[in-house]
This record gives sequence, C-alpha cells and structure tokens, in this order.
Amino acid sequence: MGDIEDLLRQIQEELNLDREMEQEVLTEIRTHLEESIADAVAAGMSREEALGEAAVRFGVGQEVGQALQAAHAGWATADAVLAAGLPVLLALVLRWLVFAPDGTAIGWQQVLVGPAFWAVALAALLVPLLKLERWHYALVSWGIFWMMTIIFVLGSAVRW
Amino acid sequence: MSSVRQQMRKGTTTVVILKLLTDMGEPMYGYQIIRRLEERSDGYFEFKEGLIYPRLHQMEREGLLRSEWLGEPGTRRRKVYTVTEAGHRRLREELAQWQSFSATLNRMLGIVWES
Repeated sequence: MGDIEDLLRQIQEELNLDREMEQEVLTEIRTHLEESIADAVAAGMSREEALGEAAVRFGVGQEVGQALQAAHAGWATADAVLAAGLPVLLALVLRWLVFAPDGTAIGWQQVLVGPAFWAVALAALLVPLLKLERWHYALVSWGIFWMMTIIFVLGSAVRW
Repeated sequence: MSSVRQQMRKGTTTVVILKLLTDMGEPMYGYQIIRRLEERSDGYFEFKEGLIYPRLHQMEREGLLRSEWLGEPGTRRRKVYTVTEAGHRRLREELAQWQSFSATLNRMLGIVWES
C-alpha cells in the first residue's frame, strides 16, 4: 500500500485543518483508493498495476490537497473564531446572570432556578455540537461553562 | 479532454451530482458517485477522481448535501451523502436555467432536435 500512503501524505501536506477534520478527509480518500484498487484487481489487474491505475485516476495528491484546503479554508477560520469566541461570550453572559446589580454573586439557589441560566447552559452545549459538529468541543464548552459558574458563585467575596 | 468540455464539466459538476443523488434516492459515497457519473456520461466527461471530494465538501458546507459515516471503526468506513432540501431547491433552479439556456442556444445555432 506504499502508493496509497505516498498519495495521502501529499494530500496531508497541503491541509491545514483541525486534526479530526483532517483524519475524516484522509479516511474518506483512503476508502476511495482501496475500493478503486480492489475493483481493478477484480477486473484482472495485478496489485501493482491496480495501485498505479488508482493513483493515475485519482489525480495529483498536491492538487487534490490544495483543492480540499480551499474548500474548507473559509469555514475552518469561521469555526476557529466561534470556538475561541464562545468562552468569552459565556463569561460575559454568566457575569450578567450570576451577579446582582451591586456586583455580589446571587448564590446557587437563585442561579439554578433561572430559565435564562439553563438556556445559556444548553447553548454552551448545543452551539459547538450543532454548529461545529464536534462533540468533544461541546464537552469542553460545557466544562468551561460550569467551571466559570462555580468560580463566579463561589468567589462571591471577589468583586468581578 | 478539450478545454470547452473541461469548462462545461467544471460548471455543471454541482448540478450533475445533485441530479444523480436525487435520482438514485439513496445515500451514496464518493467512489460510487464517480462511477455512476462515468456511466451516465458514457465516458464523455472524464473526472480526476480526487477532485470530486473538494466539490462534495464544498456542497456540504453550502448546505446542499448532508453526510454521515457508515461502518464501525476498524472496518472500512464510508462517508455517504444525501441531498438536503436546499439541494433539491438548487437542483430545480439549475435545471430550469439549463433548459432555458440550452433551448436559446439551440435556437441561435439553428439546431433542431427531431422528436
């Protein structure tokens, strides 16, 4: 499978995506190449011939990699801005939800009965899950949300 | 491939993919899509197979296609695509435009199709 690995490496060198997306792209292409080779072998070619044929039909790895990067580039930037901006937004909204006008924390009981608080908690989970399509981003965002809530409520002695 | 044919293929790849997936009525993966397109065009349009993936990903980002992975980790996994409602709308628009364009061009070129 040397040729497949070479081709995948050429493509990977042109990609600058997050690791999970990059792996998805490469897995999709690997599957394509394996099926192309299997079909060629089934049609009577030797494995070597099939490898060569699949590579030629697929195209130049560098060109495909550049086209893939271009297809994802703008969206990857938008995703990165959202991923970086979400914790900041959560902090600002929490600051407004958790503190009374005089700047003291309103306490767990009042925080947890507020529908606005749960709406923000849900958004912290669902925005990365649905918008970024990444469950682990959702867990991180959810974790940041609760960590900030705990810090804000327990650190009531501090004027935030 | 001639440059005219190449330009036509580039300009029509999106609508051709949408039409294929709509006609087949089932999720398809990249390799399957390419093979079907080759069959349908009877070899007229040659595809560099790798370049179908940037197009599929772009269409997914534009909301024309939806994808999901089939197969368990450790087995051969396939990413399959289906047309979204926005994709169906785009297909209807593009087909209408194409019919209008080709009818006008045929008239201008004096081409008459025998029924």
